[in-house]
Amino acid sequence: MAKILGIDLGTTNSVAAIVEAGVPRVIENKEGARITPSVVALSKNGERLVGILAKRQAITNPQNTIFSIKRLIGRRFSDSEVEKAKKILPYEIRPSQNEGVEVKMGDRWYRPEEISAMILQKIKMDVEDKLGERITEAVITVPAYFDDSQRAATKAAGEIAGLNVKRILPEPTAAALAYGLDKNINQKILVYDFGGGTFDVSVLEIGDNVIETRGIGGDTFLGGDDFDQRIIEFIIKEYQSQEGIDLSKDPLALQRLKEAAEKAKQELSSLLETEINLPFISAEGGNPKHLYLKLSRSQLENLTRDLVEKSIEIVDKTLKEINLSPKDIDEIILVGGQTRMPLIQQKIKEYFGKEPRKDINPDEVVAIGAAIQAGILQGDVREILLLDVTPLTLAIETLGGIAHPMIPKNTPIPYSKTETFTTAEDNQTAVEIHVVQGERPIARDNKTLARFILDGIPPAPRGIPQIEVVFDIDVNGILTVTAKDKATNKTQSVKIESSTNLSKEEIEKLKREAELYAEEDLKKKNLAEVKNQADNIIYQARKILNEYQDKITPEIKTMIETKIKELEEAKNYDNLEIIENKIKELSATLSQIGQKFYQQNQDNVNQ
Amino acid sequence: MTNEEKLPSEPETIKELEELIAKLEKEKEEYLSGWKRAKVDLLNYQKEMEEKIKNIINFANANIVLDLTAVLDSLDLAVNSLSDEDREKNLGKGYILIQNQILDILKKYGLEVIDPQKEKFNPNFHEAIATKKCEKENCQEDDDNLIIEVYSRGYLLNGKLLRPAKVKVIVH
Repeated sequence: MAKILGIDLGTTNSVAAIVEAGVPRVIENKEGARITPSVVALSKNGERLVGILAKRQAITNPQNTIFSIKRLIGRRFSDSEVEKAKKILPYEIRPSQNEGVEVKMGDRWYRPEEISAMILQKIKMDVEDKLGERITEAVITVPAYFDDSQRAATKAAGEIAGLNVKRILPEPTAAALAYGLDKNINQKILVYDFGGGTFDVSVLEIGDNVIETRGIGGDTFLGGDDFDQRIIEFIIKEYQSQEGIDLSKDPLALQRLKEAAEKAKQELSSLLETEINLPFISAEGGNPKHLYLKLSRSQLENLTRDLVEKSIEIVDKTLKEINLSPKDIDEIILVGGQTRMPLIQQKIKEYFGKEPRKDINPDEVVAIGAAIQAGILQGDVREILLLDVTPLTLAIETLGGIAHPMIPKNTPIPYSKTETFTTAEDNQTAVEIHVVQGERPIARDNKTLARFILDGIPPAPRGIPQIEVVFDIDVNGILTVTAKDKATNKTQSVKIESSTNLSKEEIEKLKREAELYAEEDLKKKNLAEVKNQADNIIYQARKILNEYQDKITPEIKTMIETKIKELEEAKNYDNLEIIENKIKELSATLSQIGQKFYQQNQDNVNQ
Repeated sequence: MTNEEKLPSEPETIKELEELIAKLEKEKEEYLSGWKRAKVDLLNYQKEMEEKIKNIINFANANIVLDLTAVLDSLDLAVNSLSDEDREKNLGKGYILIQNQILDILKKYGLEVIDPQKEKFNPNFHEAIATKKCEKENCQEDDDNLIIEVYSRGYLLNGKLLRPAKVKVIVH
């Protein structure tokens, strides 16, 4: 089945997202950006440009560059919004035959849905390119205040672009879906959406299988751009008072200021102070002039406090209109990049007395929600193949009683893991496979699932035999543990039926225990590891004594033997430090032999 | 009688079995398509990841280089503000040397300069931030869309646009 695309078709920018394997993600466009400007143009050489390319050439070609088409789509020419838009939009707008709107681009007149279709088509093509498959269906979001005619026109735009529009979804509803709040029956949710150019408030009520919009408010001419503008004005004023130069007349200076202002605004969301550093911003009588000033978060807040307060007033008004008070709201969702501003988050918290939800990227949350709705329609979210996971870690006991994890907890099944182990003693002909379940590092503290012996291993020094152990959980949660001696291919295995079907209480109990004993367990594990180390070095030491017995002087032999004895004694006491010290001593003594041998060899050579 | 009793129940059983088969077939279809979808998703994902890893290797430095282009801009402005006389002085020469030095380093990492002086405007590489009406008596078609001033140079990193050049363009 083909995938359904989720599209946030915005006034200034659009975002596309898709659900894959049950997880929504934003798809980058051809230019590698996660956001596509909602701009369409017919360039001077007759080429149609969409997105960032159209935006870059906008001022060279203002009559043929169409932006903010969302302000016109599905409207009647006589609407007051169209009247307002006409004043700020540089392209030609005229009434269409059916009292709608038409805009001119090149020498043709287009209906707004045709322009929106061009944006959708680019998005569709870029996604197809990226995913390597055809996209024919989509869920498109619209503002909650869009009426039937605006929704129908948006749907038509999708159809023109070659997309079967499965649903037109209100933006706040999409945001709620993104946060998975559609399951919180009877809750009331407020969506605070501060976009680049518009501000929207919506109150949603979650019902059984339906999300109802209870109230809406907003200001179509209040947005994040106003904050940037305030910073730019501030810098211009500061610079004028410092240097007596007006930067607002210089297009390059203005451009640099605009970028610096945006950057400063973003940085002040995480920093308390930022520097605006623009060398060679202007020149006076051949003398270059620089701009350097510091902007603090509190300065920015003072510059823009009225904008934030205005938005809170709109929230207040919207709630009053539907007879709700702030405490009636269960969740607040933040949408739009401007909501990253700490002052906004603080004011919302003050007003509602609770923290707003903000963990999903506010620029992408609507597209993510659209993708989730699309996923539900394509059957990928609700009916997603629910993969079982292992509730607890499955491990095997290794040297020193340590539980060596084979399959960590929360691993989706079916799953298989192979690892090769070896023997701990010389000429060991059998190994015990001890399968345990649980989170504690020492095997015996966990639940034993099975124990079996693989024997018939040909005698060999420790570390030489290779025992391959396979943990395999099938789709029904049945664990098969197989041990195989690679030299003889002798195999032994066991089937464990109950590796996943623990009761909830049992799992919780085991997890709690693991947490409770975490510190103590770690100590035990470290101790066991040090003891393993001790065994290892004792083994090495004995081997050296054996192999070089004729070359080692009796004093050194006694010294090593004493150190071995001391270490073996230390092992009997569970004191990590003492064992470690004795290991160090033995290893130092051993390296002395190495030096002696080396010297002897040198002497031989010299002779 | 016994036959009559059996008859209605037999088709019933067959019908039940047929329903069961239909149900199982539907389930089988669902599982098969789900499995295929998962496989396709995985293949696509692998392809995309390969691409992504290639990009990460090529463009791991993109962010830091992009930030450094602000310094390059300042250096460009510094050098451009030098008078001919200044250029001959050691201090002025020093500016130019520093500019060359940093550009040389960044070029090693795949940086290319876009300096579209007197070229035709192309939104694939240029961003128009100002325009100028053509002042000639008879403006030629050729003059339209010509870049007459480069405010800040653009940059490509490993052949991909890092930042467009910001330019002033002639319009009719």
